[in-house]
Amino acid sequence: MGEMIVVTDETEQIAGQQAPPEQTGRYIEVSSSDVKPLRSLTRLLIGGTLEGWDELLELIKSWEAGVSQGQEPASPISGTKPPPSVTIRYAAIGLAFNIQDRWLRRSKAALNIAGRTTDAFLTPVARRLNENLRLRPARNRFEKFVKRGETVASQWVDRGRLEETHSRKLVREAVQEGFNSSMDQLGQAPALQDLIRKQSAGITQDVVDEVRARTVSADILTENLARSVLRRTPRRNLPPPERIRPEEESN
Amino acid sequence: MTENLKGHYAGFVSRLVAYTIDIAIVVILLIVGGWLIQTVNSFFQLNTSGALPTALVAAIAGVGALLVSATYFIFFWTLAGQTPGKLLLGLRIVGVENDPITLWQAFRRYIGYYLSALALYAGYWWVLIDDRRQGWHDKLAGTYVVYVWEARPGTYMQARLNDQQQSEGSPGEAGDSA
Repeated sequence: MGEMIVVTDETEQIAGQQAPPEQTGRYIEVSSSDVKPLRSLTRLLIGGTLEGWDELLELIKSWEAGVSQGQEPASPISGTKPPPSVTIRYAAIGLAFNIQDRWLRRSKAALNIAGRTTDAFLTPVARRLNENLRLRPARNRFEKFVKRGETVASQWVDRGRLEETHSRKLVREAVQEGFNSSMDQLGQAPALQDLIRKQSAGITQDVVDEVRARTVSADILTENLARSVLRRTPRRNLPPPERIRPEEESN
Repeated sequence: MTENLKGHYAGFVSRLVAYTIDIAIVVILLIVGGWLIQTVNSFFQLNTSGALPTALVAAIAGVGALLVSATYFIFFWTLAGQTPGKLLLGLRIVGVENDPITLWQAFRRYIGYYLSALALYAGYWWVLIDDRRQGWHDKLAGTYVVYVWEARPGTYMQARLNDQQQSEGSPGEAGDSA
């Protein structure tokens, strides 16, 4: 295994939460400042699995909720008889679900029976072993061994708790970083920038052209209206300025 | 199909819309300017209330607004031949030979704005009945306002104009054939 270090403020800072008071001074293997690729990779794997599982569960919950909201209660027997192939398919699906339910029920029952049997068998044996004076030295050694095991297990729990928090944070950071860099890269892609620019410019130009076309229509309409009210002849279409020559102007 | 009106004289509504946009910009500039002056005033804790008569303050503000407006219009007309409002509507002010207008022309045109407004804005309404769509201020400065985009009326108006052209053309054609 790696190095053993005391839980310090530094490790607490890395884990992002306060260690329980009883842990202070205990030896827990949590590396902090030195980055080891293998360890970071392990953290990424664990964190990714945990975060991914949580996300998946949340998604499944929301999907199920959505489906059950919009679903009408299906009648088990429909009026028209479906074709044989469909009936077989339904039967296969129903069987799969029935098997799953049965296995779950049976495994639960089997676990209960196993627990009770073990208890019934081991309790008298343990009582005899406890009451036997000749086995006291061996029992003391066993108790010490158990105690040491408990300490080690407790260290594993502490380490696991800190590592899980750290791994989750690492994965979130990695995902965020990956997302940001992807967005940056997408944003810097000349083809995409060009597309966005063209689309924005195209939409703006369309709007401007539409407004201009409408004002030109309004120009003609108001002019015709004004001239008809004043009983004037329609406007003479004189040549635009670029075609006007000084001699034409003087004429 | 109606012909492309690019280079032709711009009509009343286009010019009115462009002018409205320009006035809105000038008003925004004045509001921002006023806010800046007020902020500076309060920052340096200058207590000017009572130092000058209200009428004088109003006169100074009015002259300031006039100067801002004149600078805005004359600057853009001389520099580009179009203000931001006219740019948006695809209009440009040109001289009689389609040449860019001079500073003197721009100044005369700006003065012409006020003269056009004197008699119930008759100088502006004149655009509706003038063959070259000139207002009094245009006549004073020797300028025209023209479309600088591929100007065409909207589809409805185009259809209406085409119908009008056809109905006007039919009797003539009939006469010719007869």
